[in-house]
Amino acid sequence: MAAPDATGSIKGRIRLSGPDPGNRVIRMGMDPMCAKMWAGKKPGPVDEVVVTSADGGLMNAFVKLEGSFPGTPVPSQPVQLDQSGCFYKPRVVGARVGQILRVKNSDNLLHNVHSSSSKRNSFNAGQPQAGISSDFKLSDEEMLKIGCDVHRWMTAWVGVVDHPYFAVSDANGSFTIANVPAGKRTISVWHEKFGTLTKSVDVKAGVPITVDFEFPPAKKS
Amino acid sequence: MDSMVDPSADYLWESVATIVTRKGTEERRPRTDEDWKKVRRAAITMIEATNLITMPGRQVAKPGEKSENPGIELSPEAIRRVMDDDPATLVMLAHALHDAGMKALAAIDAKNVDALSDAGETIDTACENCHLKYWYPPDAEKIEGAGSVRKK
Repeated sequence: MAAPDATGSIKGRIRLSGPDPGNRVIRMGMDPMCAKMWAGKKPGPVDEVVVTSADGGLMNAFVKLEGSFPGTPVPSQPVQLDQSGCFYKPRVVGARVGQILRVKNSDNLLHNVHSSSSKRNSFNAGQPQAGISSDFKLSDEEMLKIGCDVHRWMTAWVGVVDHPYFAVSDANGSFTIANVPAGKRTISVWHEKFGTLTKSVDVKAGVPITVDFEFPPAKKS
Repeated sequence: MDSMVDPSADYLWESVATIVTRKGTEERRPRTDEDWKKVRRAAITMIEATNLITMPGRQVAKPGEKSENPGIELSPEAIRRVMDDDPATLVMLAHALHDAGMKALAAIDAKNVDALSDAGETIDTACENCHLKYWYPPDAEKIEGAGSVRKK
């Protein structure tokens, strides 16, 4: 049996097999103030649901270990989302149960921050001008969808987890989860368009392991 | 919704779009008479569906069907109750979708891509206004699972 403080790390890459489905350019005509921020920019405001690298690495997938773990302190620093150019940035973040989610409005126009929670992570706050931020304490594990009722294309996802063993894949599709307690674990990866995949891993103390995932193309664009 | 409104609206939205991939930008739009005919059929189906929505006593789901996302969206029984509590609003919202569909139809008959895209936004607004009242109202989180009643 591994010592209680024996840990390893998991790294890997998430890829999309098949062609890049592309992303839609959003028509922001319903709010001329949003449209004005993007005027003249090509290709325009793209709804970045599926972001891939040249070889299919998939960005913004949320990776986490399943199951329960010994308690660790919840970071006192909030997880931050910004509303800028009538988009949430970043699109996907991870947070701990009990951590504060801070959502800022950098656009000098009305946004509202509205979560769609099936747990106790419900909130809805209006932010009528730039510089306003709102703090929300996250209470339960879930993939929490956040949107703006004024600009319905605006979407962000917060992976709320009751332990620190999670990551969001980068622009190359890569992720690393460090300091994982040794033992047999289940690791899952979620993407807003492609769903969830899981694998079993055996984490050994001091030994980095690699776990890669590959999503098949979505059936419907 | 699942058989007529949703697929028809999806067809209209998908008919005009700019899609960005790593390879470049694709401009989707009806190009041939046959393309326009198909888009027109979708608009007509959606418009006529709004008349069905307002028919008294229509079921919102098959008997025994449950919410796919209890706690976020209302159960079929709860949706039925909200509809029955305020039939005038149901008719008003259905008419809004009808009018949005007519705007799309006018754009299609004029073969005006930009107007069809604008109509798509109007349809989206009409859809969402209805969803906010009947599908996932702001206090949906207070509803305990499928088949439960709203807590006041």
